[in-house]
Formats: sequence, structure tokens, C-alpha cells
Amino acid sequence: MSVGLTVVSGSGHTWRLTEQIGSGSEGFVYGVDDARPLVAKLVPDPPDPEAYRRRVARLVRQRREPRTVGLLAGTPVRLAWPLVSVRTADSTAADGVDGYVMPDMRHAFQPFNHLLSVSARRAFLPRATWATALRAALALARLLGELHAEGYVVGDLKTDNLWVGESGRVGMADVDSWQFTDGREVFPGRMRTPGYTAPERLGAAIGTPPDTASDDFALAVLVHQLLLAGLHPFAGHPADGGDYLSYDDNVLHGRCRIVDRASVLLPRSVPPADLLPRRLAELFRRAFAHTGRRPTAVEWAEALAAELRPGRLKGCAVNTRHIHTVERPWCPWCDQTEHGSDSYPDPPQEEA
Amino acid sequence: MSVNGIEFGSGYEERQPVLLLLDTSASMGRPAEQPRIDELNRALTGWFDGVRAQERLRTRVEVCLLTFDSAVRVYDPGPGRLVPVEEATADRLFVPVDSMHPPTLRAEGLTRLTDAVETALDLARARYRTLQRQRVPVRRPFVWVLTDGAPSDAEGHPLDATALDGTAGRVRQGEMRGEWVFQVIGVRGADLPMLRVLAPKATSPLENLAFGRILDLLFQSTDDSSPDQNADLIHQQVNDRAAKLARMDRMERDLR
Repeated sequence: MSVGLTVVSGSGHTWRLTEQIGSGSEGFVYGVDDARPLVAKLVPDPPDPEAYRRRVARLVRQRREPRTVGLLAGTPVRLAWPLVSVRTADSTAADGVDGYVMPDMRHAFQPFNHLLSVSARRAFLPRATWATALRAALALARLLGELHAEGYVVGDLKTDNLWVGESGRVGMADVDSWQFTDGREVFPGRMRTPGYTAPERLGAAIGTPPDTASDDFALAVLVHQLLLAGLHPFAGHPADGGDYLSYDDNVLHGRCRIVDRASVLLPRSVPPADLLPRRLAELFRRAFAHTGRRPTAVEWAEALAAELRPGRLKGCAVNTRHIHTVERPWCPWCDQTEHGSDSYPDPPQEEA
Repeated sequence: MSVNGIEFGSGYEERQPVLLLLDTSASMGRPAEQPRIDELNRALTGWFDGVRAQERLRTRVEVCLLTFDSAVRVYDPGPGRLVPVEEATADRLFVPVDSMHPPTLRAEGLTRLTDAVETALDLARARYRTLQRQRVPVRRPFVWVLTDGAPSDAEGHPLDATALDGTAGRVRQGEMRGEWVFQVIGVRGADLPMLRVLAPKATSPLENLAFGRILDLLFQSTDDSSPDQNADLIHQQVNDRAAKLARMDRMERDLR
């Protein structure tokens, strides 16, 4: 199978592209005909092609720098870091499309969204429990903390850019959209995604650069989604009787169950808010209340790690997939089931 | 605070209604050796089969499918076929995207585009109000038109720009009030200048793109646009992405 496209690196190495496996607002991802699990991302007509080429070239170079070597340690590698710049072959200078070759995250991970809905969990991660969600949240917070410590800002942190493994490992792609500097030039982040944009960026002009604090907001949204079985922290119909507009509109108006229970209407069958251990609930309030300092990725990682210590988790006598914090005397997932929906139903028979 | 009865699929996501208007006029039966309508049928079946793997869409999007030729019909999932709008049961016309089994379309008749658009806008508004009343977190509907022809009146005479004015005004007003986002995709042979009267900033010519890729493009726009955004910004994003998609598609084909 081939789409007929070939890409070539600066040193003349060529790869034949196989099928198109994904597309985003910026670029297209193709399979690569190679013995190693690699894919290629091509970005036609970026706003500033010269700057885009420099951006990818810097990232490729930084792969060998001490700050990045640590991020890329371990197997499977957590980041779809650009390995080499490429350009479409057989095309004239004006016609070519730039991009890069990177690890194929499908090799060791699944799309992050598989962990966020009941049906996908059943189909793709049948053994996942709340402990898996905690581990994924911890892995994500740790990774983001490390990135921030090395001067990288993700900017467009969202589920579509994330990957997850059965045990709760987390990977991240779209490294070329990050904000970073090479000491001389700043490569700004400019993408943002509805539902993951910090309130201070929502009102700001398009192109306002992200920072670690806006990343920390997106992290809190993602951790909430993980720990509440997919529920967005700003989900819900406005309780004041007005029309629902969007997550972002709820963010701007502070409509958030964790901050103000009376601000939104939600179905009874959503996971109960009190399934959260007190320490995490407090971090969520600080992250979403628009007052004071938002918890950093490192603070999240510490708090999440504490919840995974021995003795902090408890199983339920009714359903072995119902795992919850010891702080809650009875099972929140059974409570949810009584309201008509079970986020962690029994695994399929053949899995049991 | 809670409300009952607003589950969708098994997620707690926002609901995104989509109205898909498909041109089934006689011109879609051309060229005779490779009728576009066959390609459209294959693409629809394939696309709705494939959507089950797309978690983000599967949990959010509900689709109402309309066709227009000499008549405007809507897909009624009850009997599982296209019926005249007035015979359809209004509250079941929006189907979760992964349960949509599109009917086999046939190409015949005229291109009653304006009637179809007016019908779709009515359905979009009614659906949006119903879901808001039910306290479902619903985003404004997307209305997409796929056409290869030139709009005609009931006798088959081509519509001129003034005849389109009324519908165009309604489309525009609704967009400014945040009631819907309206997008026209002109496929091979479409009368683009005339379609641009209807949707000046939201008419994308995608002559050579496969229908499946067009559907990908459109559905993707529901995912990365925000309801707080001006509709024109979304049109700009769709046009930009359509241009990139067409460019990659051309390269893939040229080099094959």
C-alpha cells in the first residue's frame, strides 16, 4: 500500500509513505515504509515556511542535548520527537511540503480518548480501572512537569495529542507545535483548543502565547477527565436557565461543579464529585476557581503519587473493577450505578 | 444539581447536531460510466462505518440526513428510508453518528436547493431549541450542503441571484445570531458563483476530492472549532484546511 509520496531528508535518505493515518488542523500524518515503527508528519503551507523549517531543525538538534535526552529516556519513548527533517521528493522547490519523521506512537500506545468513555474502555482497555486513570494522570503530570522544567511549553495540550498504554503510561505527540527557545530565537506556540484553553487566554487576542500556567490549566482539565471517567470539569447546562453555549463559555462564567455545585445542571448518572480524595478536590478547586495560583504540574504529580501509595486504594465487593479511594467509605461507582450508569462495568466474560 | 434523561452514547460530552444536505439531482448520475452518486453512496457507507473508531465524534455528533432533487426528503430512521419532510417524525430525525445507516441514494430530478436549505434551517432550529429545553449541553448545529449543480426552481429553471437572496439572508442572519454554521461544498461542475450568493465565505470548491475525505474535513471542523467563534472564522478554517487537503491529495495522486 502506498500513496505514491516519497520524502527525503537533508542527507538524502528517502522514505516511501504508505497510507494517511491522521490529519489535524496543521498537518497530515502518514505511515512510513521502514522496518522501524516510524511515521511522517507533513505540514503544507505553514504560516511562515522558513520559520517552520527552522523550528523542526532546532527540535531535531535538541534531541541530542542534555535537557532533551532525559525526556526521551525509557522505553517505550514518551514523546513523538522529530527524528529528522524531511521534504517531499520529486517536487519543485516551490511545490514541496516540509515535515519530519517521528516514532509511531501506535506501536506502544493507544489514543488517549480510549480511556475517556465507557464503550471505548470496554473495547480497547477492558482491564482499566480508576487506578489506571490515576496512574495515567500521574504519568501525564510528571511528563508535563519535566517538560516545563526544561523550558518547553506544550501550548495545545489536549486529548488528541496524547497517547495512553494499558498500564497507564502516557505519551505525547505534536511536539512541533510546542513553544520553546534555542537561546536566540523563540518559537512561539499559537494553537489552542476549545475546552482546554485557560480563561486568561480565552479573552486574549489570537496568537497570545501560552505559558506554563495555561498548560497547568489544561492539565487540570485532563486529570479531571481521567479521574471522573471522561467528565469535563466545565460540563453541564447553565443552572441560571440560559442557553448552553460551550465549555469555554462555562469556563468564562465560572460554571463548574467542583467550584460551585449550583452553577450547572448535570445528569444524575455522572460520576459523583465526592469520589475525589480531599487533597485532589482541593487542587481542582484551585485550578478552576480563577483565584490565586493554579497548581503546577509538579504539585499535581506529588498529590497523585500520594493517592497511589499502598493502602490508599480500595476495591469494591460487588464489582472487581470498582476501585476507589479509601477516604470514601462506600463505593462511588456503585452509587453511580444506582443512578443508571456504571463507568466501570464488569469486563466482558472472556476477559474475566 | 441534576437532571435526568440526557445521556448520549455512554459519554457525558457536548452534543453536536449536524445536518447533511446531499444533492441527488440528475446531474449526480453523471458521468454515465462512473456516476458520482455511486461514489457518494460508497463514501457514505464507508464513512459512517468507519466513524465507530473515532471516539471524539462517536460520543458527540448526531446527524440528520436530507436529500434534494425535485423534492426534499429526510432520512427517517424509523422506517429506515428517505421520506418527504412533512411525513417524518420530527423528534427522531437526528441519529447518533455511529448508528447512522445511510440509505442508497438515486440521482434524478431537479436541484431544489433553496427549499432544502430552508427545510434544514427549520429542523436545525427546532432541534437546537428542543435540546436546550431538555438541558442537554448542545452546541450550535452545523448545516452542510454537498452539491454538484446549479439551484433550480420547481419548474427546473435555474435560479438567479435575486431568487437566492431570501434564503441567503436567512442563512446569514442565523449565523450572526449563533444559531448555526452553514457550509457549502461544491463538487465537480457546481455553479460556484451562484453558491457563493448563498454562502459568500463558506463555499469551498473541492472538485477532485473524494467524498469520504470531504466528510472527514467537515466533521473535523466540528471538533476543533468553538461555538464562541464567529462563523466566518470557522469558514476560514474550513477553507484553509480544504486547500491543504486538496494540495496533499493532488500530490498523492500526481505521484502515484
